Amino acid sequence: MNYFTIKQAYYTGNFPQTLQEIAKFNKISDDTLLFYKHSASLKLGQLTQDLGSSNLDKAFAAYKVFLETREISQLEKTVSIETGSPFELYLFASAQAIREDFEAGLQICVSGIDSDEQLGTPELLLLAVEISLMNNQFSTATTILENYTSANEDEISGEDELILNLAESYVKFATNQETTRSNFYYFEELSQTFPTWKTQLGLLNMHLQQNNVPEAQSIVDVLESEYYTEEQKDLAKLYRPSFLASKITLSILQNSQDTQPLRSELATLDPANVFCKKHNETQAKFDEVVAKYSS
Amino acid sequence: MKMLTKFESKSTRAKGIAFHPSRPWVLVALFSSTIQLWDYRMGTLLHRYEDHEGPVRGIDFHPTQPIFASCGDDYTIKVWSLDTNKCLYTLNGHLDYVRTVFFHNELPWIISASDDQTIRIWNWQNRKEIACLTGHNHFVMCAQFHPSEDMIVSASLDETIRVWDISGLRKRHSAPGASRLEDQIAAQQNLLDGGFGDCVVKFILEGHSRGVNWASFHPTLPLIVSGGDDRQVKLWRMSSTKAWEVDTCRGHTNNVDCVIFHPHQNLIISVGEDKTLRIWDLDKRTPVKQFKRENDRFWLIAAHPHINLFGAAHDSGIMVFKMDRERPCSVIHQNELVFVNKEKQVQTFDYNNKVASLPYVSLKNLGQPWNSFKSISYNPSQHSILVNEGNDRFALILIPKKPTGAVEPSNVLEDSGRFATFVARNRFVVYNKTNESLEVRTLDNKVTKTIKIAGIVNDIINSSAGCVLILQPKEVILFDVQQGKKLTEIALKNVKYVTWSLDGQYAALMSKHTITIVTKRLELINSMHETIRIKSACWDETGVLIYSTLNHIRYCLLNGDKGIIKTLENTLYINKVHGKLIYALDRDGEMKILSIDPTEYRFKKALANKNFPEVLRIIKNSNLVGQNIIFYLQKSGYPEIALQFVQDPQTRFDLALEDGNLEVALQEAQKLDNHSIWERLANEALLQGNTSLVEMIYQIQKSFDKLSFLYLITGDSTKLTKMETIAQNRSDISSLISNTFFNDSRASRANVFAQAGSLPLAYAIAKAKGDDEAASGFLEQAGFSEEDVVLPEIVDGSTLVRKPVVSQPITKWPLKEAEPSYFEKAVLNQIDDLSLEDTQAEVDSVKQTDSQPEEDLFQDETDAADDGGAWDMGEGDLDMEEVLETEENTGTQVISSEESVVSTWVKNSKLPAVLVAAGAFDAAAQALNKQAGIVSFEPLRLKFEDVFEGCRTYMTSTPVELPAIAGYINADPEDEDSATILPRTPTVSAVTELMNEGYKYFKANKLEQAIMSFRNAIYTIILLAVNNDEDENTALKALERAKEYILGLSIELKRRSLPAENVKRNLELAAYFTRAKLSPAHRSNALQVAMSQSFKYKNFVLASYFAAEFLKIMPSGPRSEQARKVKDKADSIAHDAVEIDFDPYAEFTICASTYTPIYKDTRSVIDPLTGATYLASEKGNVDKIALVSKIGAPASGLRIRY
Repeated sequence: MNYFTIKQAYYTGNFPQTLQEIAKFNKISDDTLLFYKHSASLKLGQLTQDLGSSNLDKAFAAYKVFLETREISQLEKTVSIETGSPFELYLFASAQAIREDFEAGLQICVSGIDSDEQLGTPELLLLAVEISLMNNQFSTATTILENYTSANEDEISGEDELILNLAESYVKFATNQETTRSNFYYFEELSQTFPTWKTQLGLLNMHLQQNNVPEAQSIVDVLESEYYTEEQKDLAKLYRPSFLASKITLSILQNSQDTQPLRSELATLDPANVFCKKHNETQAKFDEVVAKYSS
Repeated sequence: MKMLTKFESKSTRAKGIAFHPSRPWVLVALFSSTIQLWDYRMGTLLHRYEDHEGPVRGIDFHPTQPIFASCGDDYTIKVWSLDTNKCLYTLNGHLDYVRTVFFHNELPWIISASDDQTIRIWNWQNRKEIACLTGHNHFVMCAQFHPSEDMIVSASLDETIRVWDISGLRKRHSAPGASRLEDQIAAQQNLLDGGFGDCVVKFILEGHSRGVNWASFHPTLPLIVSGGDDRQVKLWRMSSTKAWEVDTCRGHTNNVDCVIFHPHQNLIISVGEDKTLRIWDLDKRTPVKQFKRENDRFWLIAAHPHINLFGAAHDSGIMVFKMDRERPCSVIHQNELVFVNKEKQVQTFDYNNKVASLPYVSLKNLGQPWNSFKSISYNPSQHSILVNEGNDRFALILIPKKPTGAVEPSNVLEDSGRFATFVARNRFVVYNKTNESLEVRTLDNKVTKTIKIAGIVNDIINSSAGCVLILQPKEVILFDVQQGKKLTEIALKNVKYVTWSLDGQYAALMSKHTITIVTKRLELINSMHETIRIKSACWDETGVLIYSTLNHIRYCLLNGDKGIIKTLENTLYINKVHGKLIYALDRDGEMKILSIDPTEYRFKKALANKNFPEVLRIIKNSNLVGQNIIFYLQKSGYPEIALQFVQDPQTRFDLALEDGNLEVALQEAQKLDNHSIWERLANEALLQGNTSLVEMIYQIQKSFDKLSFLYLITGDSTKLTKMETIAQNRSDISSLISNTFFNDSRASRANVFAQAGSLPLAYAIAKAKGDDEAASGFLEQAGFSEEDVVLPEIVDGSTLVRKPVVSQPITKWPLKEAEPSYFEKAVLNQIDDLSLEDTQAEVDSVKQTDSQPEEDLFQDETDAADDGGAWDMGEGDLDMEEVLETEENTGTQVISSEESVVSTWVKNSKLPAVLVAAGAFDAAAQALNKQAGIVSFEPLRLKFEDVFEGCRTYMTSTPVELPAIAGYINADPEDEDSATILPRTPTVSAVTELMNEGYKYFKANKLEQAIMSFRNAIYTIILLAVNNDEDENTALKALERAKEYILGLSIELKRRSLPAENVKRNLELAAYFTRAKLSPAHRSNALQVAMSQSFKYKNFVLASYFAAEFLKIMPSGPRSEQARKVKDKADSIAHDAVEIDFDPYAEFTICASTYTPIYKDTRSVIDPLTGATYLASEKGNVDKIALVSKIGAPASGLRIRY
């Protein structure tokens, strides 16, 4: 079966479209459809409590509980690392990454990728790459990606390639490779073809990475237009922290006076955000510097 | 009048009083012949000096030496040592009562006044009388030196006051060779002549109609004040040639015994036998305040030489008091403090920008002159304040929107009532004492509600919405104003001040010596006592209470732990604590920003909250060491944490033992290697059942008996046998015997006794064992037969010694293994987040071959950088390691062998900006400290943040709920060569922008903002990284420029803040402003200011000079027309009315701190960052231009070029 359109909609961040595409398969139900259906619903805040009774359903229910409570025990009980399907492991590993237990997350991904089950492996691979990057294991990320592509060179379908491309773009972004070339065009093309919050934010990041202040500002203007803020209220809310983090960087590049209010807004909105954490860490470091020289 | 009494002593009649210049001590001369030394701060009597016979009348501390002098009715002057508390010697010579005695400010002289009608001057070093001043023809009641000139003033019952010139005396006694015989004879002669020639009467002041009891010089002006039995206080003025009576203050109803000038304010203070203390306005000679004691006549008043304190001696003791409260009124609103300064002007302080505004209004005409306000309350919606004037009146004042200077308020509503405070946007409450009720009023002062309050009310403080705290003498009440009912209360005595935590959950209630922390419902959390007076308190954002006492800043945690943060020289009133900064107003109403080290209390707080990761972070990242913290950890039950701080083997051993950590204890015991250590370790090991360790220790210690017993209890029979053999070989009989008991080897025991000659015992043992053969052998040896021996009827051959029940000897008693604590795990790297090795191993296994070449590359790069002669390389390397450690620990950035963009940046440059971008703040700080002497980093916080965050961007992950992925922004996005990439940092255009912004503000006369912009430009330059000469030059020139502008503008701002009467300083500052190297267009403004000010105050010569300078820059236009007119007019008069310290033709720079000229030959120091010049005395202070660097610090020069 071809799930290309579903995955394309999902990975470009168009979740309503994802659900519409899934609805076209109304007679069929399998793990892939279930995974994307639940994932997209989750983003849109539409994942209901009474899911089905399959293992993946249970895993989603447990993952939802985790997102609400940050309590991982139910997920641990529901998903078995040894026997769980890659989709189930995906949820478990995601939860570990959210808890910043990157080692555990990566371990779960690797055991899933190494298993015989093929379904859901590219998704796990993307997650493994992302977790490695979050944990600053840049060469690990590269190696995982290279190993997978070379091992499955002939078997990679279009829909898998879509995921692998995203993984590759993340690696390039984090290691500052091809910043002005292929990686930039990847995001530019995406955002032109599928203009969504996610793709626009991706392109915004690329412009920032290139110090392209006017271009970055024009994307910010677009994202602050009514189409994105009013008509896509839910998504605007979902991506608000990322948007704010980018706006902070942009305002610094512009020597603007608005940086501080933006920082405060982000700190209030999402204190667990990577930006805030780093900010707090550097503040603590700076506090120590102040103390060291004032004593 | 209500005075703020700080101390009162009860005694017999006190005639004299003297303050110690630096310690909180006061000497009291008693009529009963005793001298008392009190600590007025603690309220304790330190010593009594009893050597005078009869009343003591005069007393004085030496201004610098540890001695004091006294005099009395026994005709003597005594000099005492404060070190030994003994009389050092007595000066004899007076022939009647000695009334007063005073030390000279600088010369080793004492002056005394006596009923023998003379004034005598003594040298207290050689203990000689050097002058005897005669002339008065009645008792001399008082004689004092002038504080700075060679003059004496004396008061006598002959109704005159005399002013004496003693410059001759100084000349004689400071002339070289004064000890020659002729001089000595001359001196002797001089004495006989009554000091004629050395001390001459300059003026005789006649005006009092009865005897004069006291006369004092003004500290700075040519004025004298006197008081006499005619009940009058008289003011006299002197010129160089004459003296005349200015005015008389009438009011005392009995003899005036003492009168002085207020040391700082234009006031006269007099005391008299009418039991009153009166304060008079020096300028108007009108009474200001009066204080009366019921039964005691006042005899003397004295001012503290430095602090704003007075002491008065009366019939039943003394009192030490302040005339008025010195606490500036203030109230916080959001990020601003609204406060009333010393001049009764309302100002605000912006915490964000750390600047105080210009005054909004002047409240000088509100309340009573010389009375400061009690408190203020602020209403942001109306932009108004309520002022409690301190005299049962309050005022509601609308404040202008913008601060424009000390103008009269346009809208003032005054009424009677106390403790006015806003409770809502449109309501405030006032306490009406007459009907003992709380009145709720609208903004137009209409009473909407009246609530009766029982009992005395000391103050009313705003609480949460619609509620107030009512402070009563014995309790604090939480009162809901809206509902008009008491919500809750707590019994606490005399609470004076209240401060709420930022989240409104807790309040600190302060009385003089106690702080009580309560919840918002007034439930007691804890209470603590301070021996020194508590002045103010404030909560920091983490819920720690920071408070100030008279001389310390201290902290208190909710659990009651407290400690000292900083010692204070001057009293401060804290109003905000933010991170490491404390904001406090001093008594002059100026904001002080103090930097503190919160590590200690953060550490204790983390420990109390069991936030171990934070504790560990602090341990790793701070210099938190010292006995105190070790003791604290031990006391709090964390010996294992204390272990982390200590190197000393003995302390480590003690802590390890306390923690039960045998492993560490053993390591340290091996180092210490002494008997008692081993014994303590053995005991602990025994308690823990670690018998193998015990065995080892006993072996080391050669404790054979203990070893044997250990083997017995652990059931090790083999080793027991060996022990027996060893004992035998050592010929240690008693040890051998006890071993035979342990081993149950009766045969050998019998043998031992036999060999030692105790054959009966040997026989008995053998017989009891049933070994008849051996028994008969012993009998034979002893020469006895069986018949000679009478045995007990029952001889039991069985043994009481049991075989061990264990088959194998016990080596370790089976105890449950203790789980290592968080800290032990952390130290052993068993915690995931903290583990360096684990992550490393995994990464390596994945990378395998990759890692090697990368490491080599890293090495090569470093070497290359070394060869390139990069500065400070060694330090940089060192810091990187620290950074790596820190970043790895927090798990945020593992640079290590993983090649990341960040580590490459640092490899490519060690400029401060790059280090900051990489997050190596400590290394950057070190570099900045060495290069530019930067020590105060707080102002650079935003710049550090911007540089760090300005080279990072965060990509949304998939799924979106995952943490974002960080990307890095390079200076050149096209550059992907790892040998050259560098982080994006601000460019020189950012500096230019800020400079232009500064000029714009300058033009718009927004001087504070202009200074901020120029400072901001300097901060940007500090963290600049440029790659060409041109940019470097632009930046360095901008730095120089910014310095000149900040200096000039600071001088001008200072000038604008001067009180109108300070004309001289005003003119000087205006003149100095013209010396700042501003651009010509801007300098014309400075010149115009100087010109108009000079002209206004009739300094025509200078006005003409400034006008000429102005015309050089601006030869035409309307402003030049005016300059020309000024010049023509000024030239026609050509006279300077005010002499100022400014020579337009001399070469000088301006000290950026004192704003005084530094001439060519004066010693000066330079600030290493800004290059500003300072007087040498400013060395070591923080530069006033950029507020970050240390003046005169050694530095290599700021580097901003790649």
